[in-house]
Amino acid sequence: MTGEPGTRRRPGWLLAHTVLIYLFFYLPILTIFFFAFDTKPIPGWPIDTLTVRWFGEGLQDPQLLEALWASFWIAIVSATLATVMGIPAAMALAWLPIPGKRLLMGVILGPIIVPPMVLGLGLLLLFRLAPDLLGAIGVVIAHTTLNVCFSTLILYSRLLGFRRSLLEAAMDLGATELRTFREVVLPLAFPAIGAAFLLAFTGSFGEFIVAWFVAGFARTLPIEIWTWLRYILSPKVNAIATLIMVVSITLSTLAQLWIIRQARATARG
Amino acid sequence: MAAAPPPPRPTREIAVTVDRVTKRYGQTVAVDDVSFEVAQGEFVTLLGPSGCGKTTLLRLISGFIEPTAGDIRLHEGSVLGVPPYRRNTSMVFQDYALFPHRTVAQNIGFGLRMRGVPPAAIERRVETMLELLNLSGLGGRRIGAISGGQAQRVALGRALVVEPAVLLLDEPLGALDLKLRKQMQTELKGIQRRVGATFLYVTHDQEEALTMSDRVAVMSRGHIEQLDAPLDVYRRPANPFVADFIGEANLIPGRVAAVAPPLVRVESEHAPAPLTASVAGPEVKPGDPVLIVVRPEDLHVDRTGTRTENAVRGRVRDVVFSGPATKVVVEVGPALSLAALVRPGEAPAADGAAVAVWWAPEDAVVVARAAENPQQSLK
Repeated sequence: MTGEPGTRRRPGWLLAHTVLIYLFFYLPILTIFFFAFDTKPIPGWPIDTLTVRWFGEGLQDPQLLEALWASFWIAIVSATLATVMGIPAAMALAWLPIPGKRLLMGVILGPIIVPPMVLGLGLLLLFRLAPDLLGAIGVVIAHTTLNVCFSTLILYSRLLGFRRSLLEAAMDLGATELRTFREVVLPLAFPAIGAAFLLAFTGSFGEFIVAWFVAGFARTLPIEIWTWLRYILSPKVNAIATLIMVVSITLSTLAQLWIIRQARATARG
Repeated sequence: MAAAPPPPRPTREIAVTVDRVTKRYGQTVAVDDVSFEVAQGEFVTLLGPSGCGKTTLLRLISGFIEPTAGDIRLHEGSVLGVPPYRRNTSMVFQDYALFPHRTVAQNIGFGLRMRGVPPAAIERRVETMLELLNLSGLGGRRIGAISGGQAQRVALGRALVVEPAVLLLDEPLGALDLKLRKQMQTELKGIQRRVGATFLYVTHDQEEALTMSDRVAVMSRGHIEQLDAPLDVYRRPANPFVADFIGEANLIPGRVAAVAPPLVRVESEHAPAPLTASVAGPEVKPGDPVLIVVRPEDLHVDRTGTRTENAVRGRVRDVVFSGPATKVVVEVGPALSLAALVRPGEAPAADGAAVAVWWAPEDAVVVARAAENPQQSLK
């Protein structure tokens, strides 16, 4: 058709289609990216002159920094909790003969599928039993709830392909269950554990809706940005958002690559 | 069918005792009241088709599963309820189960490290093991960087280096190609002799079993059908299953006419005169339904078709040349064809000519069969 003679046919429309899809994905993000460099104090088209001033100012704004820090540690803690909780759950689901396993796997995605508004509201009502938990701790709990589904799924898919004979060999050679976990399961599942952690981290870091319900007076970065946007459209926010996007996309890309790599390794084994 | 004659009691020290062990999964009986012993330094093979319970037995001994009934004893006594990591057994897995994130030397030293052996001693013993297995210089290699045959030997070394009371091998040569498999058979047997280890080996490959073992336990449907030296299993099968499973066998149905140990006379609808064979396993008495078992290499073809003594008559249906021997298929009746192996020059033409096939009485044995269905439990 449109392929050049002598080369493999690669229709031009396929390339165009691909480019369009990626534009569709990334145009809004790129817009923020461009406005972060806009010199005008109130961002708007057209962008005439560029500056990196807003990055400097954004990173010096105590309110933004505080929110950034809060989001960071909340993401670290909830991602750690989600990963640590996901490992035994995934081991049980992948390895043990559990009656009704399919149903269990089916409902494991529940918290992700439920609209975040509903989850947020539910958590808020639940926390009325323990009002002290509202705030940063509440956000950690909420994000752990969300992320443990992802991490369990990621770890499950890795452990499913795990050769059982490796565990048996270790135990046969004198390793207790705990030792087998440390010597065999942990090192071999490490890429999946890393990937699960990174995805959980980025998931928590950018999450707004559920956090908003349970944050109380705590301000995570998305909440802070949202609050700002209600009053002014500050280019500082664009700058910070750009930084975060770059970091998030890098982390999640790394995580994806990691998953793909270990999936290949499993297929080879 | 557990009525096989008791195996000759080994005089050496007993390494493993399996005592009336049964393993049930719900309604399914994987291992059904099995008893046997393995002596120190002995090479015993559990041979049988898939699903006969042989791998289940290995897993029962290694402790990955617990028996429903019965007892399993190693040197130190009963190991019921003892977890695998505290049983002095080690297993060579079908897929080797080498740790991909460790080197060859680390794999071999794993068991020693778990037992708290000091690093210097581990290094020394791993080195000795590498030498024994012809793997010297490969200790630092990654598992992904060695060949299938080498991986097989690493798996063997890893299990052997901890000096287990018994080494359990679960079809360890199954993943190798034919040539390598033959070579490893010899090597495996050699290593076993040199270190004097006790091997309990599982396979469905009868040649492997007959080549390497001191004794072979032929298993079917959770039972041991016969436990004997390879030659006896082949020459003196205890029942139709063993006769048919090991090698190729001609099975001629009939009824016992007279018993004169060690010979027995059998009347068969396929033969004009009573046939003579030897008594192999359990006692038979006149009137018992039996099968005469004759190996193709013990069956002779009389091309004149006139022989009547210990002979059955039929027509040549097929002649297959295969190098050292030619297989002659003689149709005796609608439900019975016999195969004979003859030297290439002595084969008749496959023309439907009338011939007689015969055997020497000492080359054939009788086994009991169920009266109604002479082909019971076969194929």
